[in-house]
Amino acid sequence: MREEKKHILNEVLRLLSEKYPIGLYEYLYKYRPDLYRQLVDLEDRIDQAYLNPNASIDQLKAVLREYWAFHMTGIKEFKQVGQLEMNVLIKARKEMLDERIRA
Amino acid sequence: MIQQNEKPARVGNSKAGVSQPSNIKSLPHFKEYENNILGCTLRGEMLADQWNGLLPNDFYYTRNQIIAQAILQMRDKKIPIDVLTFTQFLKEQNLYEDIGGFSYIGYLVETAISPANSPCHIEEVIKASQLRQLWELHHMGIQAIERRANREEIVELGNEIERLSRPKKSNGNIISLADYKPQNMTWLLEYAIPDKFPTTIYGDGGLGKSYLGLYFATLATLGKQNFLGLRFPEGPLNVLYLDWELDIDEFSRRTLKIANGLGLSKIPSDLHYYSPDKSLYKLLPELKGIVISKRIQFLIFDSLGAACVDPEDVGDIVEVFSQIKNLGIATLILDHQSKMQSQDNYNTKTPYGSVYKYNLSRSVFQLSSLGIEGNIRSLMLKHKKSNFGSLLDDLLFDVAFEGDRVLFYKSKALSPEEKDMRLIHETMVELENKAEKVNQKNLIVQLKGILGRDRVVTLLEKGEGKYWEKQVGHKKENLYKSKTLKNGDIYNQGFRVLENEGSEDEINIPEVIA
Repeated sequence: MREEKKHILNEVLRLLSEKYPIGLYEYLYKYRPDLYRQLVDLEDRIDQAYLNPNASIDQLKAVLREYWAFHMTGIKEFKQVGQLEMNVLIKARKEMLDERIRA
Repeated sequence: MIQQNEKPARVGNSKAGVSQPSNIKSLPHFKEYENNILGCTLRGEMLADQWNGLLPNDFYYTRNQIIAQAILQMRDKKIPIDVLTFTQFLKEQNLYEDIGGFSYIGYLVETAISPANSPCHIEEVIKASQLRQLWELHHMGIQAIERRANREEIVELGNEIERLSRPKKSNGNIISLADYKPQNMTWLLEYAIPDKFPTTIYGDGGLGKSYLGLYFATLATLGKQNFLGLRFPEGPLNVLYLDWELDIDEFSRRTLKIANGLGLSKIPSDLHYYSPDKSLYKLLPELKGIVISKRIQFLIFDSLGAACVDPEDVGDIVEVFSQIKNLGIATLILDHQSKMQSQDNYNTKTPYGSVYKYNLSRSVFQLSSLGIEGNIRSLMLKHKKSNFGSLLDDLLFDVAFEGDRVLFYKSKALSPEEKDMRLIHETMVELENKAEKVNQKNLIVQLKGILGRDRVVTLLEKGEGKYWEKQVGHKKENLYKSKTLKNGDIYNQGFRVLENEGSEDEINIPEVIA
């Protein structure tokens, strides 16, 4: 089951990386903090579903579907808003990483 | 003594450099014409209504500007003008000493010759006023070139010169439309705040009008920004916030929070603040000078009620809006509405006081609250009036107050209209489950006491395609079929996804997790 979970997770992350626009997470962190918190929460749930041997494949798939839908709608909004200025992006990225390290 | 007290009004407004004093003497003006117009009006030989577009700030001398302003105020208040009532009026306004007392009034009255040629005098005074403004702009343009200012600033000055050089419409000039080449419509905020015309946002107190005005001001100074998809101009603008409600400290604190919310470490330098110590009505004569000298492109008034403009006085309101329009820049007026009474409907409220506040604004929004959750306030701007295009859909946004920053973002709350659509949709599903006919009549009956007939009829048209489909039945009767909404049409609670904006097809779940 672990191997299957790994395959599913890697495949979803690979497909997402093909669609991910640079700056999305920084944008969410800076301008949509509520959604950013939702993203962090989703990541935690994925971790739990992936690492917990009692969590089923279906549970992992369910949370990954949410994760996928979140990204697709986020990418759509982000594309409408436009790219972040480089200095804003770098600053946001640093703050975001600092926050994650602290957490 | 009279000569000593006379000061050209524009010296203080000019941004001219070291060479200014010698040039000022040569600025065009017509002292005798100005004095004759004022003297004849005070003698009762001429009416202020005959001034034909002549405004207080068209006069060259400060004391003449004050007198002209007082005359127009008396006219608007329907007070008969003669030397005695005028003197009394000035005393009541604490302006009597400013103009040099009775000796100057007496001088004007005694030296005035005749109103016979007043139309010509008025035209010359207005022309001289325009020439002085052009002189100032040219001088600023030369200075900008000398100090190698950026191209946008020089172009902006050039545009202002071009605008001032065009015939002044309020001057009574009749122009053949065939010969007139109109400029393209421009916006400060796309389809919401027109350039060169007043826009009003009104609503209950304490909702966040000032924060919103401040947010718009900050976005305008940054350039290339947008508000819920509506764009601000590409280039950064010079913005002035006229504040009668707060003080510089509170204003700065708020602005910094908004700047932080936008990811800025400090307040943009193009955002200016001014807290006048007089009413807007008294400020009007010098406002044009402030706008020109500081090259202001967007001006916010917070608020019209607090600016001590008599809300019921039609004359005051018309004068204020007329002068605001004559500034020729984008203006946003924040205003209050009357307190809600038990039988009142919030949506039908208009700005407090004269209807001319609404009528003379070219774009009007009403701000209302959709709810508060923790430190997040959901607000809605309803576009009530637009003279330059169709009304915008409701603008829903959240304002999050997070310690040292305030964030604005698209709201996930439902507008009252969307809530009502949901209600109709639910009623349709109920009727379908009971195998009853889903037509307009049955829906109205089912929703009786909840939604009015007209509301149901209107929303049935609006929600077609998104919430339900319409089919034509027997006897050309309209029948409705509810559409299946995924998670109540919100796919993900975080994002407010509208129909065709986040359908399952678009989200396209990969096979590996389907």
